[in-house]
Amino acid sequence: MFEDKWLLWKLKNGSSDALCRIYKKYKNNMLALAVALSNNKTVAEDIVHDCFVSFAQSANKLQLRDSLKSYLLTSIANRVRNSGRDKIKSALDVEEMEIAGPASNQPERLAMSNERVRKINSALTQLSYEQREVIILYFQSRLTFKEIAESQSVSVNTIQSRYRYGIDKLRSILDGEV
Amino acid sequence: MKAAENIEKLIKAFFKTKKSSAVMPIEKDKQILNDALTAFEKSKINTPAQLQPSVWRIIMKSRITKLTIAAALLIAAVVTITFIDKSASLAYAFEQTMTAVNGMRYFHFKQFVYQPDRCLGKEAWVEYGLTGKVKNVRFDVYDVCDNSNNKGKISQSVVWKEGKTECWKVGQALIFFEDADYTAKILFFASRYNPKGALEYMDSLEKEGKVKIQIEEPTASHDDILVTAIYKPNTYLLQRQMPAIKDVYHIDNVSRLVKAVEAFHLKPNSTELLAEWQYCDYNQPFAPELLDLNKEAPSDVNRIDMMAMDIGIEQGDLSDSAITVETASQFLDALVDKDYALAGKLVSEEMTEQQIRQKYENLHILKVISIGEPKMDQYMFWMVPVKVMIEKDGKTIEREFTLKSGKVLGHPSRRAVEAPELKCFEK
Repeated sequence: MFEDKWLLWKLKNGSSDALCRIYKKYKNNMLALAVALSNNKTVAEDIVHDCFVSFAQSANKLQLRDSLKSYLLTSIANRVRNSGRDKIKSALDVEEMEIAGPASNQPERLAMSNERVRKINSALTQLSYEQREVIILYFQSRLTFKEIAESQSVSVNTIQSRYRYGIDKLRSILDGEV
Repeated sequence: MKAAENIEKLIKAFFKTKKSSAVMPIEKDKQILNDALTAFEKSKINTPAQLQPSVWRIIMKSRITKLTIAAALLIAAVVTITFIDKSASLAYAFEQTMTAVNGMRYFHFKQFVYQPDRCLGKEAWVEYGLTGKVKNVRFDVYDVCDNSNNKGKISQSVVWKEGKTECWKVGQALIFFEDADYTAKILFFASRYNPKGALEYMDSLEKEGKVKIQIEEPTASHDDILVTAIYKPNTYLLQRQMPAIKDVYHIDNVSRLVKAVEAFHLKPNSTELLAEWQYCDYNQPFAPELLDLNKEAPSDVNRIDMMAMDIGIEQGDLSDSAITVETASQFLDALVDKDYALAGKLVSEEMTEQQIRQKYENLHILKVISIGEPKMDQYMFWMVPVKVMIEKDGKTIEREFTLKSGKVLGHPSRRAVEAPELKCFEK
């Protein structure tokens, strides 16, 4: 937390080194979120590109209410939403969700079979965008309900409801399958 | 799979898998960074308010403008006294920071010193007693670091408790001593990094005309107050020869607490960042364990009580320069005579006969040719140039080195060779 404040301070004082450090620190988080929300690796990379360039452009005037991480991830989520869900959906390719790269080499991956991953992927696509977004931001990006609510300008109750309905739906889809 | 928590666990595991596998391709990585850096540089040009001298200052450089503005201000003062009073209360003064830290007993900060090839880091905790005197200090020295987080290893930890010092040279020894000079350095260190002490010191130097101070009020409410102090050469630190230095204090606009300080070396045509320090937190009591190195260091490590050691040479009536030459001479003679036990007694933190033998036996010093005139370095150690004859690959050759010597910890009247500097032999 302190490190982020320091990096931001350095950034606002014109340090390009701080910009590089922020990018290196959060690039994988941003990419993971963009992929999860867009279901498309190429689109996700472009979104991270646009978001981070935009962040760099406005760094001097930046006023953060939340943490730097929350700010960057919220920017990604907003940009995915604004870039048009239909467009993204049409680009959906279940195979592309396996962007995991050298997946088979990863211990976590081994713990979950490909079949199971495919079923969960499929189940997630059946949720409404709002429900999916909350679940991804909560589980993958580790944002709190409060942070998610603030980033979307809705109440915490709304976010919790979306989460609960999303989890219920996932359970009903996956029940017996996984 | 019926319980909600089971599905949550499953989803969590699923995302963990996905997250751990998100990797940006190298080409895209470069592109994003390049584009972001370009955008960042452009934004600096387009938003000059924060990064360039304020318009106010530029205007005030003109003599005519100064007179005009002064007249205008006089009129404004008559017409709107209330307004002026209100504005004046917003202006920053050192007293505000001094008041903000007044009564605070705990300071925690990190310091980074930039050298041509690396960055040296230090993390420090200072506790004041109820009477306002320094009570406890701890600092950890990192061998390598960066200023976002200390990634290097701690090479040394020092705890000072009301005059008594414990020094844990990681992996080597835990040393205990009481030393008035060392205590003075610790107290200076603590006061130097106590914002109140630092500002008071700066203020006193300004009154003596040794430092120029500029205060830059922020242009926006969320920006920091910047206090720039330009020190004339040899005024930055007590007793040390220093070039002209510029300190920039970043002070929080709301709390008036110092957030960070940068120190620059002022060169004729450029400035170079020498060091920076950040205040991690204010008045947060730290754990008592932090002040117990005896507990922290492994039990099997060598513990040395310097007060019980019989090392170094008594200075007696000899001048600083003469005792330095004498110490170097006796140490080198001991190496020539292969009397490694004696050489070990002439090193500031005693080395055993075996340690000295391992380190210097292969140097094959045959004789001492000359010992030059000692000079004091900026850290108050005496450096003495020596020329010796050594045997290498069956030939005898001359080698020149510099030996460093200083007072023995806990024994201020004694002098010894500083062990770390013996590395110079390995050049």
